[in-house]
Amino acid sequence: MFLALKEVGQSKIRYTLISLIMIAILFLVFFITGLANGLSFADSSSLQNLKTDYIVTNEEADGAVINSTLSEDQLKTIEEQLNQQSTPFSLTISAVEDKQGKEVNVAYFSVDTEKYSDIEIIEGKNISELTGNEVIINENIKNHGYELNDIIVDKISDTPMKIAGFSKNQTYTFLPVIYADFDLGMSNIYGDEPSYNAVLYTGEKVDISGFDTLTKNEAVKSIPGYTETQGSLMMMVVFLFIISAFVSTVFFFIITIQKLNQFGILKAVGADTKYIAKSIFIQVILLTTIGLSLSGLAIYGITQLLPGEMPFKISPTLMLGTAGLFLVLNLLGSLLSVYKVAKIDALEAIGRVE
Amino acid sequence: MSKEMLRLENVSKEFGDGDSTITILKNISLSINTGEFVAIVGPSGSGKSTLLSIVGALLTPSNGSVMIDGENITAYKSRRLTSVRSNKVGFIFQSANLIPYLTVKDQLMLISDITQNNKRESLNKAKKLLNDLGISHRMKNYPNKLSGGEKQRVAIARAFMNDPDIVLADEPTASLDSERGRKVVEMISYEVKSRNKAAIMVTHDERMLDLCDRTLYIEDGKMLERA
Repeated sequence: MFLALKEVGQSKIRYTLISLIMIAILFLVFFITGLANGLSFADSSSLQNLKTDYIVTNEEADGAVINSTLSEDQLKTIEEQLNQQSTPFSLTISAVEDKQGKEVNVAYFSVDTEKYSDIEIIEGKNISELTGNEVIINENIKNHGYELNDIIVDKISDTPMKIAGFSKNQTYTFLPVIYADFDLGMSNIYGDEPSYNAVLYTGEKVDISGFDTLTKNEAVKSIPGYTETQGSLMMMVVFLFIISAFVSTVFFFIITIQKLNQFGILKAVGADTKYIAKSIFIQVILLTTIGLSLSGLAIYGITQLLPGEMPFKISPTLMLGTAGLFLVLNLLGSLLSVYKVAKIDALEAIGRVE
Repeated sequence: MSKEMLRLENVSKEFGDGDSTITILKNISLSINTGEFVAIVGPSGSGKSTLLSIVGALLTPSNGSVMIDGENITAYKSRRLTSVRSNKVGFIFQSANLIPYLTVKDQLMLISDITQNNKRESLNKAKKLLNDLGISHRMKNYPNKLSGGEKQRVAIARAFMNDPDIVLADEPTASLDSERGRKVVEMISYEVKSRNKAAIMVTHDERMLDLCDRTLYIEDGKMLERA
């Protein structure tokens, strides 16, 4: 403790510079992590929050709910094989007009409101309470000027709908999700027959031949483009981790090499490797913690400035997890310096070995 | 009331050099009492520093035995040697070898941090040592602000900080002019006598020998003693 803090205090420029690099890298790590998380969320939160355990689709869709179509006959086949209660599910993309007459794309989730469970509502009615042309819309539609009990009109079918409730965390590929009953006819706006995408059920998994049965996670990963986006962002985060671990490792390694002679003296006057290693670890922890807290503050600041539509979402858990991993990597990197210290011979302090 | 503090018996040191071995020290025996200040002189390459390293628990001898205050340290492994160094030995190096980012006071406090001694006691001890050596006004300065003589005095204070049984000085005057060098050796001598320690100084400088109680000559690894 003694040695570590005195040295940092005395070599302020050196340690300030490395801290700045760490802050910058960590800021980027947090930002991209938040972006990846936010994008994933905007892409898939509605599927993650589906009130179901399993989703049955046709085999050709490869798991992408939106690409799956089920006929009435197929629907019956599936429902016959399921012992538990199930509900058909239809996903259609359409548009509504906002208060200024601008087009807003939306995703309709048509369900059987008598069978489908209630979802998380922040205002108004829940699914089981819907009657007539009432629907539930994700809260971000409020950005377009809509309020509870407003009438909203579908652009393709010209169907008027009454906003009976606002839901939370219900977006599909960035579009606000509108929950409606099949009776409203949103499942057949592109044809005469109602079209179904999937059957949802809760409980034990049942394998139905001729159809795919997915968990919600599998359905999320099969959203077109989802895995690719998340994969690229993940790669950036992984590389940032590697880069920052390298920067910190190399920094401490070079400083250690510069101080080999000093460490020799320390060993000669009775300090063991443990004592010196402790001092290196304290410095690594100190600098990383400073970097983490300042970049954390910067991230907090930037979230206050970001526009609401920006898909950025970082939770304290995610931040702490990232920070913990970062600290562990840096400490692992500093083992290289400690190894070097362990190799130092106290004899070096004597100046020459005969 | 002097007693034997250091005893070397038939100490030899060999280094392997490829297929052949080089013998640096041959059958050296010596004994030093408390309150005794012994000089070791000899041409370069004669084995002075190796001998000092063995006494200072930095090296272990190939043959023979080393006793510090009755404790046989000959067979100690590196961890126990480190603890011998931190508790029983005080080093004064050729150039002062201070830690550049520590103030004079902290150079001494570092030793007490390593040996985990009581902080307040150590601080008093450090102040007293610096006062004795006439550098208490330099307490808050960093080494780069000190003159060569001042640095060496800090190094002396550091060597006495852990209350060692023996003090070892490796050419402490090498980086000083003769006047300052003599003053530094006088100070070592004074501290050794007043604290009743045993001390060994390796030196090239024959003009310092009158300040020492005994002089040992070493040549080609063999030792001769002159009164």
